Amino acid sequence: MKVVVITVLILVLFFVSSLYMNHYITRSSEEVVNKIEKLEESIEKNNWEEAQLYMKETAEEWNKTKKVWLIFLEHYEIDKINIVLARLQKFTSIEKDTEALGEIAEFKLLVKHVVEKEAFKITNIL
Amino acid sequence: MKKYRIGVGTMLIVFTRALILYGLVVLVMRMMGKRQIAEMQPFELVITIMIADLAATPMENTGVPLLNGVIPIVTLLSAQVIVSYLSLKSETFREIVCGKPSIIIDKGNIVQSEVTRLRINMNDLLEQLRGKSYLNLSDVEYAILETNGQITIIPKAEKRNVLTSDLGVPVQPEELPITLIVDGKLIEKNLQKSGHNHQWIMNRLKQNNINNIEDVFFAFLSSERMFYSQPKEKTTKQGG
Repeated sequence: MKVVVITVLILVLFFVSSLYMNHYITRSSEEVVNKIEKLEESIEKNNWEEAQLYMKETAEEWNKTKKVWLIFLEHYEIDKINIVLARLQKFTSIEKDTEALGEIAEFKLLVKHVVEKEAFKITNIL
Repeated sequence: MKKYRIGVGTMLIVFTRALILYGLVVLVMRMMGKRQIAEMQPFELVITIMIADLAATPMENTGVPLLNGVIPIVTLLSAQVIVSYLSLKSETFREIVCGKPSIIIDKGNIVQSEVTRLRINMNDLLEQLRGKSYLNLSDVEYAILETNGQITIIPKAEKRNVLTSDLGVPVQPEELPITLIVDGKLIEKNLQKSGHNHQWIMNRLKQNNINNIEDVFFAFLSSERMFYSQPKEKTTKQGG
């Protein structure tokens, strides 16, 4: 009986944690995407000083987010985002707008893909 | 130098993960209960194998989060515990999950419909009977195929083993043997349960030429309440 009670408690804890984690991943991905959209706007306007600032903020936001994501998500997804971010930082620093905008599009897609992959949907279950 | 440090880190990561998953699997198997592989229901055996497989993946692949192994293992444990509990409480549920035992030999006759339904051929049945030391089908009164795949045999009255009650011999009721000393350490709880004290056990050991509890490898009180002890082997240094 003790084991049954412990098991049910573990299940309840698990459901509550997974709801919270899902919410956290959605919220943190939105924050990262918001930051990178500001960077995108700056690059489109050729405002490189502002772009460098937003690049730094995006990198900081991503570094903060990935510490938690690494615990719950597969590392190769995070590694792919890190690679794109590294390329984006370089293109931003040398003021290559076309390449930087391409990397931004890839970055947003990868982040959104992570969120879609973690959603509780029938396409992910099957 | 950098490469060397990365290599050691990976080894330590794998080592730590293996230890964590080992602890988890031991805990999960304890919580699932005491059953030998041969006595498990088919679905319990499958779950045990699945748990083993799930524990292996995060051990060998450090790119996969540890939770990817922990969560499915805990899920299987939860499902198994809940299904076992419901099987205990509901006969209908138990029949759905485990099935029912089937009588395949009834009053010495093979129940052909059951044997066909269960897809048991005669050679398998005879092999099982021989495994239980019944060489002749004619010696069997009832044979029941249990839900875990084992066959229970009830022999004909004239073919069964003799029991002490058949001989009319008076017998003492059986008691459990009590372990008193293991590897030089006295188990106080068991000594109290046996109703004896330190003085008694020291007297018994002295009768067996043992002076200290620390020199005893194993000592116990048998079902007939006889005291047995075995001293530790003395290691002797041999000259060169």
